[in-house]
Amino acid sequence: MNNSIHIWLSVSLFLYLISLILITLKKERLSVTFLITGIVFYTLYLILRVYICGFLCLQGAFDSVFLTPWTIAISLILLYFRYHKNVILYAIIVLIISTVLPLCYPKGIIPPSPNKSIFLAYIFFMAESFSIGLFYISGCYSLLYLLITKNDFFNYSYQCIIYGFILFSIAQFIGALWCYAGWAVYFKWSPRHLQSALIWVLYINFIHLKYLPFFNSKTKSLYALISSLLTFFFYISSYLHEYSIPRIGN
Amino acid sequence: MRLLWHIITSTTTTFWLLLTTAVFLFLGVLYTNEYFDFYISLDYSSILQWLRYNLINNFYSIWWIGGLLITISFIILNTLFCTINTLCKIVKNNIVLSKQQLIGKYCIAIIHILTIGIITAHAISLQFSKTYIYSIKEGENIIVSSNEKLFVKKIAITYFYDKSILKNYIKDITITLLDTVKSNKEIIISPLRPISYGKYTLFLTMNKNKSIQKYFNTIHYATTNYASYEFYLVVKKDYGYTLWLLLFICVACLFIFYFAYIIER
Repeated sequence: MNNSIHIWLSVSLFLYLISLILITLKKERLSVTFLITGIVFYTLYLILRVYICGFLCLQGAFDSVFLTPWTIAISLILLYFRYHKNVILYAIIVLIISTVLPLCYPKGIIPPSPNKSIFLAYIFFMAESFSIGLFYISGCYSLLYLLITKNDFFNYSYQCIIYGFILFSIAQFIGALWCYAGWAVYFKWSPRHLQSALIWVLYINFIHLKYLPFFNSKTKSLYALISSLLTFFFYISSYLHEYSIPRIGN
Repeated sequence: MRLLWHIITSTTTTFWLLLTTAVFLFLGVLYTNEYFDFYISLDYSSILQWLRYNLINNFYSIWWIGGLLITISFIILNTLFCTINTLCKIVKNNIVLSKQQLIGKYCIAIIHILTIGIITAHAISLQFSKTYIYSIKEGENIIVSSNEKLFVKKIAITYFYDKSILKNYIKDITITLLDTVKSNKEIIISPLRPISYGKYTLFLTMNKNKSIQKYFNTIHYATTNYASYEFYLVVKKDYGYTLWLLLFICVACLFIFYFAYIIER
């Protein structure tokens, strides 16, 4: 069973690709249908990952590499149903890139340790994955705004950053509580904690940009794009760091 | 004087200060990645003492922390004066603003003040917390202070069941300590479940025993056997934690109120 479940990951990626092709052909409804079907298959894949050890082990689904594509897909569909604009679906490209990552990544799970078996950890991973997913989407809309200069893209990017920032702040608070319970400190001087602080500072700075007259929509979009790329770079580097950790259920 | 006030209360200053903080944090990511083991000692030390101790020998690895602390101090000042300035403007123009706008502006001002409080609580924690770390071995005594002694009575390890692919992996640990001086009472401690002991909080942490881990890597790496871990009892008196937690909860409540009342209307 362990090896066969990963086929659902490829199926979701295939459906997302079709969805992207359809939106470029202006077939909005069909594109949304394929996107939703892709999400259903990916959700099924995550549920199967929970049972990768043979019994219920949430760590299988709450691995950032595997959870982020799902949060991006959910965020995209929520955005679409809120605004009902086909251009929102252009961000499927981000979803495809983030789904390719788990495809190239070791599929097993890092064995659970007593320091990670707490509900706070799962809330932390969920909030963090949603927030970084929103930051990636905002980066995509910012790039589209810089290329096409359509105000809608700037507004979507701004919305994504605001909600992403709130979720990221919640994740940091919950993560700090978890860290305190497990390691007796709520901030460790480690690359992981410092990069989270850096991402938080970058986005809090973005929120303050609206009070600065020398920042127009273009420069704000450029700032959002750079922040998004930095976030992507940091998370890729932490995925690479975890690449060599022995896993089970490959 | 007016120019100085303008600079201190300006959002442009905030922008540059936050950008400088981001640069220092980026350097921090690079340095802590390079000297990971060296920075572990900072987690459980008083920050100023640690900086003083390492200033001469390790200046080139720690200089960025000094820069970061100075920038954060300026951010605190900037946030404080900027908020005062905004509050003065709100009071002056309160007739022009609607009730909803007023509540929104007051909310944001309070969130800024509370953020200063959170940073201060964090600073108190980093500087004034007292932390003692003891290696735990069954049958040994841990002397916390002259009238606080703990005896490690039992280390109980639970593994995942035999037929699971997680066989040999630790599921949970329970350590029974005996208070030998005061009450002869048993204290049961596990990871993620800190408990209160006198004026201290006790935490159970575990680290991979690197010398033994090497052995396991060559023989059979897929295990978290008891012998591959070292257990530590962290005894801590944190002066900033309660304030930090309280202020964070206040900020969260204000945020929820702000979004529910101001944005959604």
